[in-house]
Formats: sequence, structure tokens, C-alpha cells
Amino acid sequence: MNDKLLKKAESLGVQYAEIRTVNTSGLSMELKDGELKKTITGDEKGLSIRVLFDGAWGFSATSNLSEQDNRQLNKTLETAVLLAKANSHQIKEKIELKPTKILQTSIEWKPKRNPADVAIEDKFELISDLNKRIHDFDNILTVTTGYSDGLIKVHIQNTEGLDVRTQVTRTVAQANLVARKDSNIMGYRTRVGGTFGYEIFSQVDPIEKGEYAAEALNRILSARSPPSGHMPLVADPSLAGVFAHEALGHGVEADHVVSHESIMEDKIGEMIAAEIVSIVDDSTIPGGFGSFPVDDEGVSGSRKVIIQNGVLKNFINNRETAFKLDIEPNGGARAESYQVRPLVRMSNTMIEPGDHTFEELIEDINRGIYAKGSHGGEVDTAKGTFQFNAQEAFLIEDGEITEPLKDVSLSGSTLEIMKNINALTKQREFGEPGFCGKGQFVPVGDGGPYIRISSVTVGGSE
Amino acid sequence: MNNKADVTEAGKTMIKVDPNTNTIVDPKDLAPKAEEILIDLDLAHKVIKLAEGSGAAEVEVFMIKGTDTGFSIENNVVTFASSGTEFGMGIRVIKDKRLGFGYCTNLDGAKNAVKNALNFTKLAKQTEFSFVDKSNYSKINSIFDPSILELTIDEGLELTKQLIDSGLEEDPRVIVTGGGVGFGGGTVGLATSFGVEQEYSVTEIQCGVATLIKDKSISTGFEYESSRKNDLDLTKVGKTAADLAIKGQNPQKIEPGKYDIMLMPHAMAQLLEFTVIPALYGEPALKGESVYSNKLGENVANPDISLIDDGTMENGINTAPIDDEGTPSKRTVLIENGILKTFLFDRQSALEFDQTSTGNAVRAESLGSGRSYKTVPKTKALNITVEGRHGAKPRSPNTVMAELENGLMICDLLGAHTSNPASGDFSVNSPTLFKISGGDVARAGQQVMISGNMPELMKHIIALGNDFKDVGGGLTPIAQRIPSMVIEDVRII
Repeated sequence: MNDKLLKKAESLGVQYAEIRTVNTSGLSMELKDGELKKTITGDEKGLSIRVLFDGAWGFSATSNLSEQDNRQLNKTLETAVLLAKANSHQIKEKIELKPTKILQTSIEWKPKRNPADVAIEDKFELISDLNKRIHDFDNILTVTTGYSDGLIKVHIQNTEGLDVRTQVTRTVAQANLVARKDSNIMGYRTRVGGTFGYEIFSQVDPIEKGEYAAEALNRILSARSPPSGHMPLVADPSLAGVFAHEALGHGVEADHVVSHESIMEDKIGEMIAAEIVSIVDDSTIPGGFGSFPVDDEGVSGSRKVIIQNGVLKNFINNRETAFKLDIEPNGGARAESYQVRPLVRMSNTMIEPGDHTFEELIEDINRGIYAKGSHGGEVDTAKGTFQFNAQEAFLIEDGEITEPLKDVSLSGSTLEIMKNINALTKQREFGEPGFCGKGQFVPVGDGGPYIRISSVTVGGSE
Repeated sequence: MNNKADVTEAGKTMIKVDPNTNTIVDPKDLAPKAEEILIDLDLAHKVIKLAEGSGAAEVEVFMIKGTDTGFSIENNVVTFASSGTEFGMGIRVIKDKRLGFGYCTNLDGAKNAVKNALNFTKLAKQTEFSFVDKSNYSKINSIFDPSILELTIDEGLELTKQLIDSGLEEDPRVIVTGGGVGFGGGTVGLATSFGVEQEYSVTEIQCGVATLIKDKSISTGFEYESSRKNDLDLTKVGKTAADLAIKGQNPQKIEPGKYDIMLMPHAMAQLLEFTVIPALYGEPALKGESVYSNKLGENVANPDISLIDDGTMENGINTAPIDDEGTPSKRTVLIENGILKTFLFDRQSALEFDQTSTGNAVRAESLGSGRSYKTVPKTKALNITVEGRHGAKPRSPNTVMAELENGLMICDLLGAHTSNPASGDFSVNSPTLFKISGGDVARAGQQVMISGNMPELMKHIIALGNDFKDVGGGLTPIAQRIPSMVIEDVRII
């Protein structure tokens, strides 16, 4: 059927057409304080058709795929072509796609332990145990634990002859904790997951993470607010990863670059960070939460070197922006679902390790902050201004980690802060799996070594 | 340019709408686009029969059907034109007094969804919960405008071009970097095994635009509007975004310290969305995990201010006759003249805490602002608004500003979603702000950090503008219609 649709698209005069069929199915469960609050299972299938007509895009999506009723599929194609035709009358610069390898392949990232083969009772027990173990700690008021798995099957075909099927599985367990001591209420979130099957839980123990979360939350409950102002900061791998994602990553998404919405425009080849800093965006990391074999326009995922020894080397791109910037497509096009177009997105954004130990990072700091983990952040790519928060933090005094702090947020200008990174550890770790929002939500990973920033703005209430 | 008139004239009002229920009554008269949002409640009945035949004691089927068309802007031109249709249903079952849920996109998928939903009931705790057994909602006229469904591709493109041009015409340095126009409609249907049948249709048109000037400095602007009626003034939106970028040039450094800040509706809504509003949901509040736990009847805000959730608000983003499990929508005064009055409930949390549902059951993914058939209803605010009296009576923003000797006008925030949801503490960045000096906007300011505790700051809101604006949720479906607000003595870093 799809072949016929592509032929029909060509007969309607398009220069390019692509059909992306997505089938997602999975299970999610949520348990609050021992009571199962929801169990959700389902199956969703739909397709989108994207066409280029005389240099202009048209796109149409439908969930109505019944073979008997190909009226709907034809209509979806016709709508996409109509939209592109109308659009082509006003476009100033014709859109073209940078040629890329025409893949004809089927790639399945098989989990070692398929979540579909694990009994629902076992999944229930996993989050039920996690819930109980966290509740054993002092001052814990409520605990919401959750489990989810998803099987995502994508089939992409285009008029260039590309035909790619991919299949990946993602599995996650998480806990949201709320603790209360007197009138003081604090929250904490922890998450385990990746582009893995159920085997993830034998690699990373959710209970260990949950217990750490409960301990950390108790520290935060009696912590004081951080000092505010400019000071040195050491970030753990999880926070360093979020830093790479927010402070740098969004700014090197090529769609922001071509629309003049990035401070990184015209900066390729320039020294934008300290020489010790190298950052990659890598969708090929086995198990990474943001990993994928082929992107949502059929380009293989890749390891993209963004900053090498302080120099900006590349942007994350799709075929359209690769053409505009005359660079090679590197597989950065991702869509949240069949209903929306692929946008230029990050995958797993990682800071490369350095050669220090953690002790060396903190020993020279007279007064600074050690911050761990993150709830996420946000960036204004045009101005290069970012904010992100830390889940947990400590004061560093005279080279020693001293008292715990609560609600530490960091903010600054990308171009200043990247140059302030002055030490990295040898040790590197993955941060927690996350979801990145850019109109659409996609799973992303990040991580890095422990990093030291000589000066950053810390927001606190003291 | 008078785009509103053009569009209205072009819109053919071919669709007949039942004024009592807002549903389309005569399919014969339908234009093709409107047909796409018709739902078939017979399908729901088939699913109910299927589930009952498989052992369900009670069944509820929630259906969404929608269509939308959108035009995206990049670098001063429309670069992407898209459209889509969607249909899906969420099925809740009760078996042996236990709840189960499944979703699907057609009747074939329903068989599997029902089977799984029934199977999963075995893990759930027993409950006295029951689905709605009667329909008694009233009509709401302000949420459906057939002329939105009649907008053509060319008209949509024209509107988007007006949006771009109105920004570009303000200043030759302006680049319209992003944004776009989207419009569409949908129908929500809900049926239960008690014979309840409810459905309503909605339409929406929205536009947004981001602007940039790279001159002596980099400055940005943005503006957006949305409506259930085909009445957007796109030219105004484009101009406003351009003006913000123009005024934002050459920002001066802001000295750290305490300031009276005037949070524009967009910035204020971001802070409320992630702090005060979720703390007013019944379950966390009555479980003791909210800053508002055990505070009913206490003073929690400026005594001249009231905070209201109104699912029936005229032309509101989330206005509908019923919520997502069939409870009639209503207006709930949460904080009345500074006093905490009540919390928001869906049917399940109401049952748990011996309360009555306030019609706030919303089906939405944990991240995202849209409705979804793929998840179960949870308590969410619908349309939050504020009222002020005496000193906090809404006045023109200029009058309010004139009283600020040394203040800041905050237009945008980064990272409001990282606020501590339990404590309401926040520490965020503002990339777009202005210094207010001697009661007037003096100059653009360089980025600052703003920190505080939002529930506490509710007591320090000293003035309201009358520039009420509809703001949709950032990462949640919570909509707000709020004005700019002045908060005194806020820490700026």
C-alpha cells in the first residue's frame, strides 16, 4: 500500500515524499503508598506523510490505517501535497535535502529480557518493593513509584528508495518522594531506565537509588538555603550532563542555527569553551535513554563531536539543515509520534572525561558548591542564557564538603560559562534518563565526568 | 490590515450546531473538515457490550476525535505546513470492585484493550468507585466556532504571513525566527454502562511568534494568543513580539537586591503552574503533602485577592460542559479574599476523602499540555483566574507601574518547571526584563535570577493589572486567564 502511495505522490509532482508508520505499545503502572493508582496498557498506530513540492514542505498524519479504507490514506497524501503546493507559492528559499545513504534495512534492538515476557505481577512487585523500602526511612510522607515499558516500531519509506524498519524497547522505573518535617515539605525524584529491556534492573538497582533518594531527601529537609551570587561549583556527572544539554546542546541544534535563534551561529571553528572541554551527542551508546539506530527521516544515528578541545566542531542536524549549512547529515531528526514532524533533537549528550580525581576538584575551593542531580532546566538559545536546578547540594569550605543545601539553581551565559570549566575527572557516568521538551517530548540521556566551574551564578534565598 | 473580517467572511457557517449541547446535529450539512470531528457513540456502545460480555461490572468509554492544521515559521517565512487527524479511546472497567484501564485506536484494538484492562483489575485495590450514572450538564456556547473548521489552507497561510509581516514592519532589524498559526477542532464523547451518553465539540485557533534583533545586543521578543472563536488579531500579536525585541536592545546590568517586580501574565502563569496550583489539588492537600495542607480557612494570600478555577469560563482554553469523566464543569473559588476555601477533586480523590468532585478530572500525559485518551483522569486545574478588590482591584498596567519607584517588569522566565513542587520554592532565570524607574519603563535589563517561595509570595501580591491574558500550560494542561501582578520585595540575584 505504501509503495502505491509513494508512486501516487510522484505522479502528483512532488520532489520528495516519505511515509513514516509508527506503532507503539506498552505498559505503565503507578503505585502510591502501597496502592496501585493506575495501570495503563494500549496500542497506538498511525502514519504521517511528508512531501516536498517545489521546495516547500507539506505534512499530514492519520490514525486511520484500515487497509479496506485506503480512501483515508489517499486523502492524507492529497492533504500533504495540497499543503506543500500552497506553501510553495510563498517560500523564498527552496528547501532541499542533503543527499544521504539510502538505507534498506531492518534493525531490531532486542532487549536481553523482553518486558512483554515479564509477568505483570513481577513489575508490580518491583515498584511495590521500591515503595515500601523508601517508606522505611524517616520523615517520608508519600512515595509514588512507577514502572513503564514501551515497544516502538517505526517504518520509514521514501521516494528515494529508502526502506527502514526499526524496533527499540525502553524501560523505566521511578520514584517521587515527598518528605515532611514539622512544616517543612520537600520533594525528590529518582529514575532508572534506558533503551533496554527488563535487564536494566539487574544492572542498576532501583531500590539502591530509592534508598539513596530517601537519605538525600532527609538531608535536604534539614538543609539551609544556599548563598547566592557568583561562586565556584563542582557538578556530579548527572548535573554535568544536564548542563551540557541545556547550556550547550540546544544551541547546537541546527534548526535554531538556520533560523538565527542560536548564539552558536557563525561560531564553527571558534574556541567557545575551555581547552579541556569536549562534548559529543551520541545516539549509538548501547542502552542510552536517547539512543536510536536510525533517526526519523532514515539517517543512521551517529556520534557527533560538538566541541573538541574547546573548539565548536559541528551542529546536530537533519537533512534540510545539513543542506542549508552544507554539512553532512548526522541523524538528528526525531519525532515524538507519528502525528508530528521530525525536529532536530539531541540524543545522549556527554561531556568527555578529563584527568583529575574528585578530591582534586574540590581541594582548591575555599568557598563553593557541590551540586548533584537535576530536575532539568531551560535555555534561551538566541541569547545563550540558561537555568537549571540541582536536586541536592552541599557547601564546600576550605576544600571540604560541609553542610547540605536545598534548592540550588544555577544560571548564566553559555559562552561565559563554557570557558569557566577548569577541571574534569577521569571518572565518567551516565546521568538519569530524561525527557526533553521542544514542542515535542523525546527521551534523552546525558552524562559526563565531575566538572568544576570556576564561577557560576547560584540562586538562593540567603 | 483587517484580517479578522476577511477570515470571518470567508468562513462558511454550514454546520448546524445544537445550541443545547454544542454537538453537530445534522451530518448532511457537514463540510468535509467538520465531518472529521464527528464521533460515533455506537462504537462506544459496542465496546461497552464487549467489556460487559467479558465480565466487566461497569464500563466507561472516553473518545477523542480531532483534526488540526498548522503553519510553522522559520526565519521570516512559512517553512512547514501540516495537518493531522486523530481518533482514539480510553476504556475504564470495574470488575470485582477493582478498576482497570486500556486504550486503543479502533474497535479491533478495543478487544485487546478490554482484555488487558480486565486482567489488570486483579492488582488494583478494591474500591467503592463507580462511573457517572447521570447526565445533567448545561450548555456552553463559547467553545465552538464552525468558521474555524472552514478555514482553508490558503487562508491559514495568509494569516501566518500577516503574523510575520506585522512583526517585520515594526523595524527593519526584526527577524521573525519562529512561531506559527494552528487551528482545528475536536469532539469528546463519553459513555458509561449506566446509559450515560455525553458529547461536545470544540474549536481552537492559536498563533505565536518569536522575534529577534541582532544589533548592539541580541534581544528577543515573543507573543501568542489563542481562542475558541475565530477572532484572533494576528497583526497585534506580530507587533507586540517585535516591540518587545526592539525595547530589549542595550540591556543594563541589574544590581542584586530586593525589588518590587511586575510579573507579566506569561511569567506569572509559569510560576503558578508549577507551585501554587498543583498544591491546591485535593489529594496532596488532604494527604499532608501540600503547603496548603491543614490550612483551610487560613489566610494564604493578600486579603484583597481571590483565586478561582472555572471550567465554564467564557471562551476559556479548557472550558467544556463536562470534565473527562463526565462530571459537569463548574466554577470553584479556591482562595476567597485571601482565605483558603477549598481544593479541587476528581471522582476518585473525592471518594477517597469524602468530598464531591469539582469537575476537574483531566486526561493528560504526565508531560504535555494536550488531552489524551491514552491515560486515566487525574485532578488538574482547568482555567485559573484571579479577582482583586480594594487596593488589588485590576487597573491598567501603566497605572500599576506608575506606583513603582524602583521595580522590574519580568516578561519571561526560564526554568519555572524546576521549582520545588512540594515546597513551592523557586529560583529561576529571567532573560527578558525591564527596569522600572520613577513609575516608568526605564530600560531593558540583563538576565537576572529571581528566587523565593511562591505560596508565601501570594501574600505579597500588592496590585493587579487589568491586562488579563489566556495562557496555556507549559508542561501541564493547566490554563490560566490572569493579568500582570506586582509582588513586593522579591530577591533578585
